[in-house]
Amino acid sequence: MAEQQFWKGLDEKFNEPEFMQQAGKEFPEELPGFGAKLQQANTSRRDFLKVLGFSVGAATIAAGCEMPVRKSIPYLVKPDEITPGVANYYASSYVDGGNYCSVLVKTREGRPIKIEGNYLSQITYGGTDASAQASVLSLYDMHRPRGPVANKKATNWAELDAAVVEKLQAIKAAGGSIRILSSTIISPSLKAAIAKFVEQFPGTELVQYDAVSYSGLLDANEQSFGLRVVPNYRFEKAKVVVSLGADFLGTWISPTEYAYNYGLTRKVTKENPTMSRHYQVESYASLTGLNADIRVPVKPSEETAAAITLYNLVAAKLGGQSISGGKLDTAYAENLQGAANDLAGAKGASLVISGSNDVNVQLIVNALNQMLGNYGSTIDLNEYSNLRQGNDTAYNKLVADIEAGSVKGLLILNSNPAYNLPKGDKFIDALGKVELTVSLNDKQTETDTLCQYLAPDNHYLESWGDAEPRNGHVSIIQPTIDPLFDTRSAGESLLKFAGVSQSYYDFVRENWNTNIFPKHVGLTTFGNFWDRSVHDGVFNYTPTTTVTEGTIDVAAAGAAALKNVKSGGLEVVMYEKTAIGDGKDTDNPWLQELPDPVSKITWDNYACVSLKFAEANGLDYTADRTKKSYGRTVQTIKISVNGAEVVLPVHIQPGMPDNTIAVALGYGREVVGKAGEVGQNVYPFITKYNNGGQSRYATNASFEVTGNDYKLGQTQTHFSVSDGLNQRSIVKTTTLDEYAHDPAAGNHDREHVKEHLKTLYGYHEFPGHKWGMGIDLNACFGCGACVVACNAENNIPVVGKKEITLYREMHWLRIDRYYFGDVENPSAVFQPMMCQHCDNAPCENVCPVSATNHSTEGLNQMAYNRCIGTRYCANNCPYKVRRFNWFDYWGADSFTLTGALENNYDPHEMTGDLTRMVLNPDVTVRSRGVMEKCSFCVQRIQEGKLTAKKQGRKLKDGDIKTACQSACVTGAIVFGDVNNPESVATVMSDNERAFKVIEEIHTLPSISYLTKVRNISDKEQLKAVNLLSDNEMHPLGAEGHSNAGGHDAGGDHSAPHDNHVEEGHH
Amino acid sequence: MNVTRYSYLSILLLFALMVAPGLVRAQDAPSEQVLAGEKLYKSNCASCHKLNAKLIGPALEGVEGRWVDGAEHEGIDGREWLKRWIKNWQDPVNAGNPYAVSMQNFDGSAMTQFPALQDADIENILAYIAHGPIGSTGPTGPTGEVATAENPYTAYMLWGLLILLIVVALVLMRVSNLLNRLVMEKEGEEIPAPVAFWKNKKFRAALTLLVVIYIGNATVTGAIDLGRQQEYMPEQPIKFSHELHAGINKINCQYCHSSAAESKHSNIPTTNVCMNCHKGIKGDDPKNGKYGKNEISKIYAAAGFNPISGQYFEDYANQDKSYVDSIFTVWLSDSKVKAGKDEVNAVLAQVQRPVEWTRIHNLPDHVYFNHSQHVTAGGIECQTCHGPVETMEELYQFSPLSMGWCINCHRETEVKFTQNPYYETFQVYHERLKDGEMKNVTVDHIGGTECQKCHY
Repeated sequence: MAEQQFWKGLDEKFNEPEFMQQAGKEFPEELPGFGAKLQQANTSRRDFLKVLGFSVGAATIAAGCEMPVRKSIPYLVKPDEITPGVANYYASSYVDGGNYCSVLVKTREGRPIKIEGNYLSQITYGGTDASAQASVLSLYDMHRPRGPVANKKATNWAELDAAVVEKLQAIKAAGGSIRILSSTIISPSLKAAIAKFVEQFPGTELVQYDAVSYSGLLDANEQSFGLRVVPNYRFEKAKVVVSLGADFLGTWISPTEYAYNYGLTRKVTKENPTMSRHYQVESYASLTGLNADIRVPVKPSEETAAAITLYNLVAAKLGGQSISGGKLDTAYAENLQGAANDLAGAKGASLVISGSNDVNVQLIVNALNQMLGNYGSTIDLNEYSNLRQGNDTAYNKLVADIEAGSVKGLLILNSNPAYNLPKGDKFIDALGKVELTVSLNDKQTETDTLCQYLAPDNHYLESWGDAEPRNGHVSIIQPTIDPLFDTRSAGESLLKFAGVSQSYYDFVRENWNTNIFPKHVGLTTFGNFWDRSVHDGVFNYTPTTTVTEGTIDVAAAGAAALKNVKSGGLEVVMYEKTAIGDGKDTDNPWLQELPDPVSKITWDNYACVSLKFAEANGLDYTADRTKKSYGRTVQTIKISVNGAEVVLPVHIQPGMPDNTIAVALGYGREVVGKAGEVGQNVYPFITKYNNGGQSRYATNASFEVTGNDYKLGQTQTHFSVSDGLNQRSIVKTTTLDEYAHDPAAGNHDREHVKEHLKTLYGYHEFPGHKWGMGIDLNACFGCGACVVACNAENNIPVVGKKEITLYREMHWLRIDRYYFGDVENPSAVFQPMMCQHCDNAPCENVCPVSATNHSTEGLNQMAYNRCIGTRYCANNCPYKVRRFNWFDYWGADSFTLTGALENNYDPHEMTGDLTRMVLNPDVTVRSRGVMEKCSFCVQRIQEGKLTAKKQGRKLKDGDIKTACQSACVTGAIVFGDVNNPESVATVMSDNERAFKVIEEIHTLPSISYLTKVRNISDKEQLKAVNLLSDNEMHPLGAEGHSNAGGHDAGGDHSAPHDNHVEEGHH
Repeated sequence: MNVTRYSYLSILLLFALMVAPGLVRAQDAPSEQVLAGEKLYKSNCASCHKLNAKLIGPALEGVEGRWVDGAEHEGIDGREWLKRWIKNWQDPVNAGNPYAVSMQNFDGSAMTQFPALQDADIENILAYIAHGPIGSTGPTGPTGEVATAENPYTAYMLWGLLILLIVVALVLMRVSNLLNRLVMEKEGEEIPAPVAFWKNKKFRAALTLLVVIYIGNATVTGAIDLGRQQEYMPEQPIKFSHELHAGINKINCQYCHSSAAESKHSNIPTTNVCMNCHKGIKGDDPKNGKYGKNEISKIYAAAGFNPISGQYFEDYANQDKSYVDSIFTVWLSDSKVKAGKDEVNAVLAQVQRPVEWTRIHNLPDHVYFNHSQHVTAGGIECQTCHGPVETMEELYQFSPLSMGWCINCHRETEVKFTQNPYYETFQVYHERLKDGEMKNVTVDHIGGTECQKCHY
C-alpha cells in the first residue's frame, strides 16, 4: 500500500483496500433502496406477467388518446424588444448586503433565466461568483414573502402604510427615537431614501451591522487614516501577498474582484515566468489557503501572534519599531521568516491582509503595510470599497438602547439578527420593549417572526436601485421582471413611510440627476446619461478622497491585541463557506448542492478536525470502513462553548491545526425555505473582544463523542480513478524555478506517452470546426461559480443529500480537488472536470444503441431520446463524468405523496411551477433512465454559428462562450475552434504546459489542461511544506507527518519536487 | 400437396385484401373537373360551408346523396333540384319541394344566391365536394383523424373481385379435392376422412402468421405515427383564411410571421399586426359577405378597437365589459350585414381576451428547431415545409414533421457553400470541390444529420 502523492481524501492517500475497491465501481453493485425489498417480495412470475400485461394494456389505452390540443396565445401588443425565442440581456447589479456583482441578466419572453457577468465592470470584470449565479433561482423561490403582513395577518400596502405611519408619527410626537438596523448598504439612493426618512423623523439613526463583521478592519482604518472604510486592495500589483486568515478568494469582502486581480499575477508564460508569491496563515483549511504557495496553519488564538511575529520580522529587516511579546512558536512558524524576507524584498509591491476582526491586529497590519510602503501602490484609499460598513460598537449600543427602553421604533432592513446572534445577546429579549417593529427583508427570516409589520422587499431582479461598491464606481439595478408577488422595494417603503409619494424609480433617477450626473463629463443631457448608465449597468468617475495618514502606535496595538487573545484548551473557529456565506442564501438548493470547494461536502456543516485530533479522540476516519453502506458515515460530537451546545458530524480535514475545530456559519436556519433546513447554527459560539467586537473563535471548548453515526453527502471520494493517481497523468505540477528553465517542466512524460499511441479505430475527420477547451490550472482557484452557471444553463436537476450519499449527484461539471503534500498541511490543485469530448471516446464504442456518438465538430454527442439507460458508457468513461438520471428529478418522480409512499427525490421543491420558470427553454429537461453529461454548451455553439451564418461572416474566436467559461472571473477556462490556429483554445493546447488527462490511454480528449506552476523554489520552503520527492516520503505509519529531521540534510534533490506523475514509467 | 397450394392461394388473397385500400389511394389523383370545382368552391361556397363541418351553412360532404335520396319532387330528380337550389334557393322552395323547404332557414340564416353559376360549374363543384380537399388525402376532422374519401365504387369493385376470387378458390379447392379422391378411389388407396379446409393445420398456421404480421405491422406503424399530426386542421377561434391573405392579396408571409427570420419560433402575429390593416378593412361591405365582418370583429374585441368610432377604447383592460359588449352588439347588428346570434356571441366572447389560437405545428420537447436557420441562413421558402399555404383557406399541417422527413431534406439540400463567407471555415470541402472530389455540399456534409444538431 503505497502512499499516494496526490489524493482526494484520506482513504485514498493511505490506499485503503476496501475504499479503492469501492471507488473502482462507477455504480455501487446492489441497488440501494430496492435490493432488500425485492429479495423479500413474494410476487410470482405469473403475477409479475399479469401486472406487466395489465400495465402495458392500460398504458396503450391511455396513450391511444388524441394528442393534446395546444394553444398559442400571441401578445395583444408586442413589446418592441421581445421576440419570442430570442434572449434579451439587461445590465443590472447583484447586491446582497455587502456582496456585489455587476451582471447581465438573460431573459427569455420576459423571464430571467441566467446571470452572466458584466464585462464593462471594473470591479467584477465580467466574472461572477456562485451566489450571483444562483440568485436567479431565488427569484422563483416559492418561500418568498407573498405580501405585506401586519401582526401575523396578511394585509394590503395601503393599510400597512397607514398603520406604520400612524405609529411612527405617534413615536415622533412622544419624542421617542427610531432606528434603522441594516446590513451594509452600498446603494447611494437607498441611503438618500433613508435621509428622506430621517428628515421626516429627525433623530432616526441608521445602524449597519454585518452578520460576519469587518468592524475591526474599518475601525483600524478610521484610527490610522480618518476613513472608516475598506481600502481598495490592488492584488494585481502585489508580488508578495501575505494573508493572515483572510479567505480573499472565497469569502473575504469581494472575492470575485480579488480573484480576478490575484489571478493576473498567477498566470505565467514562458516569456514572462514570474508570478506572485502567496503566503497564507490560517486556522482552518480555506480555499485561499489551499491555493497558497506556502501555508502556515495556526490555531485561531495564534493568529495575533502570527501578525506580531511577522511584523517584528519585517521590522527587523527594515529597521522599524518592534512589538514585544507574542512570538509565534509552532512547527510551521519558520515560514514566517520567508514571508518577511519576501515582503522586505518587495517594498511597495507587497500586500499584507488580515481576516481578523480585532481592531488591534488590523492596526498592526496597517503599520506593516505602511512600513512596506504599500499605501498608494497596492492599497488604494482614494477609491475605497463600500462593501463592508457594519459597526459592532453601534450595534452593541443599539441593543443597549433597546434594553434601556429608549428606542421606540425599529426598522429592519436586509438583516436577520435573531438568527446570527451570539449566545447571550440581549436583542431578542429586548425587542419586546420596542413599540414599532417593521421588517423590510426580502426573504422570510427568524427576525420577521418577532416583528409586528412585514413590508417585504422585492428581489433584486424585480427592483430599481443602484450600488456604489467602490468609491467612484456606481452601477444600476434595473428590474427584469414585474414583481412576482405583492412585494415592494425597501426604498419605496421607506419613502412611503416618510410621506414621499414618488416612486422609487423616479427617486433613483432624480438622485442620479442631482448627485451623479454632475460627476460625468461628455454627454449633455441627463436623459442620455441615464440611458447609457442603464444600458452599461456601470458608470465610473475618479473621486477625490482626503486621507490623513497618521502614525500608528504599534506597541499599544500589540499590547491590546495580546490582551484580546484568549487561549487554552480546545478552540473552535467559525468560518464562512464559499457558497453559503453568512447564511442568507442558505435556502438556495443550487448553493447547497454545490460541493464545498475544500471538503467537497454538500448540504451540511460539520466539525472539521485534524487527523491527529481524530486519531487521538477515536474519531478516526477508519470508522468509515466498518460501515458497509453508501456515502460517508462519520461520528457526531457534541461541542460546548460558553454554554451553547451543538451536535455536529465530524469531518477530518487535512490542513486543520491541531486541537482546533472549524465549523461553518450560515447553517441551522429555522425560519427558512425547505432547502435551508440543514446543518446546525454556530452563531451562538461567537464571542466578543474586549471592545465588544465580534470574535469568530472561541476557546476552552469541550466536546463529547455522541456515539451516533451520521451520513455526509460528500462528492469526490467516489468517481475516482482507482488504480492509483500517481500511475496516471491526471494532474501535473511544477515549480516556478523549473518552469523558468524549462517550459515543459513536469510535462515531459507527455512526449513519451504520445510516441506510443495508436488506435484500432479510425480517426474522425473534422472538416469545419473542431471544438476544444483549455483550462489553466494556475488560474482555477476552485470557487465553483462555473458549476452553478452550468446548473443554470443546462437545466441540471437538484438531487438532494440522500441521492448524493448514493453517489447520484448530477453535476456535469465538477471541480476535482487533489491534495498533495503533508496531511497536516497540504496544498491542493483544483481541476475542473467535465466531459472531455474524446476523439477516441471509450463511451461511444460501448453504447448498444449509438445514443452517444461523435460529431464532425468533435463533440461527443448525447441523444437523450435514443438512450435506453444501459449505463455502459458511464462504466467505460475513465473521467467519470457521465451522469445517470435515476429519477425524473425535475418532474413526475418528484410528486409529494403522503405517508409511507412519500418519496425523497424532490426534497427541495425544485419541481414547482414557479421554480421551473428558471429552466432554460433551449435545453431539454432530461427524463428518468437516460444518461447525460457536459455538451460543451452545444446550444451556445449552435447559436453562435447561426448568428455568424445569418450575418454572412466567418465565426470569430470568442463568439461562443460556454457557461462555465463566461462565469469564470479569472479566465481559467477558454473555449474555441482548434481548427482555427489563432483561437485561444489552440494557443493554449500548443502551450508547453498543456497536457490531457490520462492521455496515455489514447482517448484523445478535447480539453487541454496547463500544468500547475507553484511559486516555490528554495529548499527551506520545500521542507517546511513537506513537498518532498517520492523517495523521501513517509511510509504509512511513520511517526507523525510533521517535518521531522532527515529530509533537509543532503537529500537527493536532483528532482526534488517533481510532482508530476511519471512514477509509472520509471 | 394440393392443400398447400390452396394455402398459398389464400395467402395471396389475404395479401390482396390488405393492400387493396392502399392501391385505391395511390390511384386517386384529382381530375381537371375536381380542380375547376375547387376553384369555384373556394371563391363561392367556402365562406359559408365547410366540407366536413357545419359553418354558417351545413357541411357539404355527401350533399349530392342527400338531395338525390330525399328531394325528388314532381317527377324531377333530386340532383336537378339541387342545381336549382344553388342558383336560387327560392326556386325549389316556391315550387314546394319539401326538402328545400326544410333547408331554407338552416340554422337561422338563408343561403346566398348564385344566379351566375352554370350547370357545368355546379357539376364541377359537386365533383370537388365528392373528391374532398386537394393536397390531402381526404377531409380531416377537427381533431386530426383522417376521413377516407376514395371513390367508393372502385373500392366496392375491388372488394367484389376479392370475394369472387375467394369463391373461385374455394370451388377450385373443392373440385381438386374431389378429383384427388376419385384418383385415390380408383387406385384403391384408403381415402382419408375429409377434412374441412378451415380445420387444416397448415392453413391455420398460415392464417395465424398472417394475422400476427398484420397486427404487428399495424402496431409498429401506429406507434411511429403516435404524436404525428400530418393534415391536422383544427378549428381556429377566428376563421382566418391564408388563401385570402397570402394567396389573393399576396401579403408576404413574413409581414405577419416576422420572427421567423430572426428567432427559433415563427410567431403567430400579435393582434396589433392585424390591426395595421384591419383598422381600415372592417369587412362591413355586404359584397364580401358577413363572414369577414364577424371574424374581423373578434380582432377588434381582443385588441380593444371600437369599430364604430374608429378609435381604441380607453384603458381597455379595465373597461366595463357590458359597455364594450353593447358597442359590438350594435356594430354587428348594423343594417348592412346583420350577424346571427351565435356570431355575435362568438365576438362578445373575445372581448378583453387574447385570441387563443390552436397550435397546428407541434414538435416534441426534445427537438430543437430554429426557423431563422432555415429562413434566413438557408433561404428556404416557407412553402417547402408548410405546403401551399397561399391556397389553404383553412390551414392544416402539410408535412409529416417526422425525423425521417427532416433527415431526407438535410441529405438532399445543398448549402449556400460559396455564397456565404461563413462556410470558408470548411477549407477541406472547398478543396475537394475544386478537385472535383465532391460535387456539392449538402446539409448532411456539414453535420446536419448529427444527433446534437437538433437534440440537446
